[in-house]
Amino acid sequence: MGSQIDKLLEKYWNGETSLEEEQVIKAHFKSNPALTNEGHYFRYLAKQKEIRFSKAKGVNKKKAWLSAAATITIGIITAVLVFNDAQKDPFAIEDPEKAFQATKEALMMIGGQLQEGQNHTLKLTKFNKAKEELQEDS
Amino acid sequence: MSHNLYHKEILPASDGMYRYALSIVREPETAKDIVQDCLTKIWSIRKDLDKVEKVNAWAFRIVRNRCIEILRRNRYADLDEKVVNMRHSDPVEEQAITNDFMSLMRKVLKELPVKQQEVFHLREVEDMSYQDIAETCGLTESDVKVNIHRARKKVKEAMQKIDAYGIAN
Repeated sequence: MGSQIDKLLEKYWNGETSLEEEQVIKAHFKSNPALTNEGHYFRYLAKQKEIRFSKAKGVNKKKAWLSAAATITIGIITAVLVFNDAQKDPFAIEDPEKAFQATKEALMMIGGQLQEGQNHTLKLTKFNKAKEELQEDS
Repeated sequence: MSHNLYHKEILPASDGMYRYALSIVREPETAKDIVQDCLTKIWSIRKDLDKVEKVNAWAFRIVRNRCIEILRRNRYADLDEKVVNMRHSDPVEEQAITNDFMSLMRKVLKELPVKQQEVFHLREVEDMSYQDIAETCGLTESDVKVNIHRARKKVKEAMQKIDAYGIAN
């Protein structure tokens, strides 16, 4: 086995090994953790392969800051909008045409009420006049 | 069918895609973002996955292109022409490297030209065939073989120096 690995290693350093032969070398050093430089070398390569995407650390600091800043900005804008909204008259009408229409309707209604009031006043005047005439006759 | 391909071919390759991105950009957070972007991109075109001949090499190529894009945006260097300015601290590797040999190996590999680093990583860590590496990196198979041979030669020379003079930077 020793001489076979030596031959494979020679081929390896000359860049002549196939993938399968390289697997044999790697498996050999995995099961025989030699304290030679070549042993260290193949252990280094095996260590590199242990790095996993699923275990990749962290959040990109720049992105995290940007997202925090965006969240704060959105929060401030929302707060300002809500505050401004609260300050407004809830019955205020923004559209001038609608406001004119509403005012017109209100005035018509008041006008109608005044007219009705005037009718009642006329009736009272008539009643008072009749009452005065009766008092004069008696 | 293509949905299955995504689960069968792409997701299991995500660890390798991450290691490859990490070997290029050298920052775990950036590498993670790159792989997440690539997975999202591949998911969005999953219906066409069955038209791709070599899904694994194709996915690695997408990662490579994204890495180059990020490196260029960050004005590191042109990956194809120059050696990327490698950072000295690398938290992921720091955890793994526990002795002087490992640190020296890391130093030797980082001093390799970028092309050699790339093909070396894909062959030695990801166990990719010459053909897949060629497809991923946009090289010919003979270019890949030459670059791997040169990288191994430099590693071997460094190990011979260790044997001759002991571990020294």
